[in-house]
Amino acid sequence: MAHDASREERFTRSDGPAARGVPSGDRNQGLYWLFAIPFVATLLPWIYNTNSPELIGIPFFYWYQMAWVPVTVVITVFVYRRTKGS
Amino acid sequence: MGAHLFTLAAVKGVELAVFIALFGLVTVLGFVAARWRRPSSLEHLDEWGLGGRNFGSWISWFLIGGDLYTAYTFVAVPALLFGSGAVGFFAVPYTIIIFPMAFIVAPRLWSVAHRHGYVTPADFVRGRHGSSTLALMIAVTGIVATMPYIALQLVGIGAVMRTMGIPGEWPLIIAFVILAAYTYQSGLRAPALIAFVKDTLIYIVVLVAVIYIPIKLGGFGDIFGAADKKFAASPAPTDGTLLADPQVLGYSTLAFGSALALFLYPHSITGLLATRSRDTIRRNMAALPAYSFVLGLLALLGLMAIAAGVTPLTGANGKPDVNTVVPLLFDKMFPDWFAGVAFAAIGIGALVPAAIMSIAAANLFTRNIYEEYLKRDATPAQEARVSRLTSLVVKGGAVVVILVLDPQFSIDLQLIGGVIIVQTLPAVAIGLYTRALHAWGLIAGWAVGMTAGFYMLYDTPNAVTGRAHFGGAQYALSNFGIDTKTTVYTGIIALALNLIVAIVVSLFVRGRTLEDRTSPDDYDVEAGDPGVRDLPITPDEAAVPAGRR
Repeated sequence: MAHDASREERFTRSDGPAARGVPSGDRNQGLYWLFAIPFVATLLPWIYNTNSPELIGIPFFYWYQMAWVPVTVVITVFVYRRTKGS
Repeated sequence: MGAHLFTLAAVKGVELAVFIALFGLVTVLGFVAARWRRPSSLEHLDEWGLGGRNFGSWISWFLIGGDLYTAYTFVAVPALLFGSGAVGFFAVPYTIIIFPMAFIVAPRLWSVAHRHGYVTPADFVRGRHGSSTLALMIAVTGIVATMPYIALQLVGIGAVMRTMGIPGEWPLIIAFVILAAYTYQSGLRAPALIAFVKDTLIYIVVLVAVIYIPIKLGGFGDIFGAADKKFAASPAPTDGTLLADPQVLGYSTLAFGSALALFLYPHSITGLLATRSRDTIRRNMAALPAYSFVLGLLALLGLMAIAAGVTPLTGANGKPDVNTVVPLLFDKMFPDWFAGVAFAAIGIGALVPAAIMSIAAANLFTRNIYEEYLKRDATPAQEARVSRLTSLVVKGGAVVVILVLDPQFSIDLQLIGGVIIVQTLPAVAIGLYTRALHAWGLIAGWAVGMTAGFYMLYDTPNAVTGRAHFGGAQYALSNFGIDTKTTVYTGIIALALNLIVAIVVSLFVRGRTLEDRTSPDDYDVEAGDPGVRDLPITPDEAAVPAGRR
């Protein structure tokens, strides 16, 4: 155990708990629920396991899932902006 | 060489010349990287093993992207679509949902790791759950899951080499010796710098490929038509351009389970902990899906290969090696010089993750085995030295595995790797939120999850390849007496058993408290907050303000 204490000391300042930062935290964590949208949309293949409608010859199954990449990016950027700490 | 001597006529000169030129470029970068971002000394694990823990958004984007999307991915995912069709596309939902999950969870790991100087996931488990046994189990799981992954990077390079007409294993050995040398020299800075070249090449090649090849093949309608025709003609019920009904649940559980596993791999965590701040991680989780889009496009190359009439080369074991279909497609479709660029993209794509994986495995050995059990008072310089040497051993081991054993063995191990690494989720990811699961419960759950996972993989035959065991990571629910053809990803079933056991055992041992060295506010601190040290520093220059760049 003594060894571990020394390891901790190497990395942590030893000025006691009082000097430890009050975490800035993240605002609006409720917005994380928005991430449920891509989960539901991509993890239920029953929704999209079909050929039509096609897009430039690509069956729905393929372009639908690809389309969720940019949509998820938009959601993530939105959540990032709204939850960013001060 | 002797027996492997090949006829020069079979070698594709222009392709090889471009390949070697680009390979030479990244070799120089690999060695120069030791001086990149001027560390005062590499004799510290935070420097050699985590690149100074100070990578900003751009570098991290290239590094983590280069780390997660490996050469094997680029070769194997299209190969899966070539062979089986729609099921191979699971890589897209998998890499869509991974980033929102990491967006929420990964910053907590970053914070606690920075406050306590943790380098590996097992370091965190040691501090959080107060059990060195559990930490050892997490470390060993990580090393075992990573080793075959490194070996598979060689399979990726090998597929490219054979397509260029170069048989035998010696080019692989040369490539890995060079890789080992500059990783030893520069640590994580080498793959970070090389990742810029790798990813740039990959993006160029993929964008050209998905525009140019469909035009040459007569459009996507013709490509999917040819694929439909091939799958309709094959007797196997598990292929097709859409999922068969019994495959649907397997598809989504595979995507979900793979996503849970990805950021538990030691090399992913190495990439995360090398970032400068929580904010860097969160920004990256919004930007990394660009790679997912590229992966989706790449996957379609497997179907294009069908339309182009590609026949896989015969592998060393006398069976067709589907991993050669993407290189062969490039060879067939592109002018020689651009095929060379494409091959270099795949080849260099193997080096970046192989370097990071060997560093991650070496760090695990150093911190959680060497320092915990062999030399308790190791200095930072000794840690760095042991890690550097271990990285050489790890890469040597990967080469031996590929040379001595059937490559199929590595592919089996990689299959197992995904199933076993997800068994560390309760200790690592759930541990970031709560200590409701007791270390003893976690140990018991891990043991049950590992045993069950291994048994189920052993118990899975593959009708297409005619193998009786380790035929895939889809377990038939009919094994549980349910009258259905539906299959579920093995890792998810094993994880469910793991969690049940962990919860039940934890209820029984609730009273026995083990030490938790972390405090609740450790999980939310950002760089610059008190108690989070400025990085990078070496211990003897702690008085000097860190050079923020």
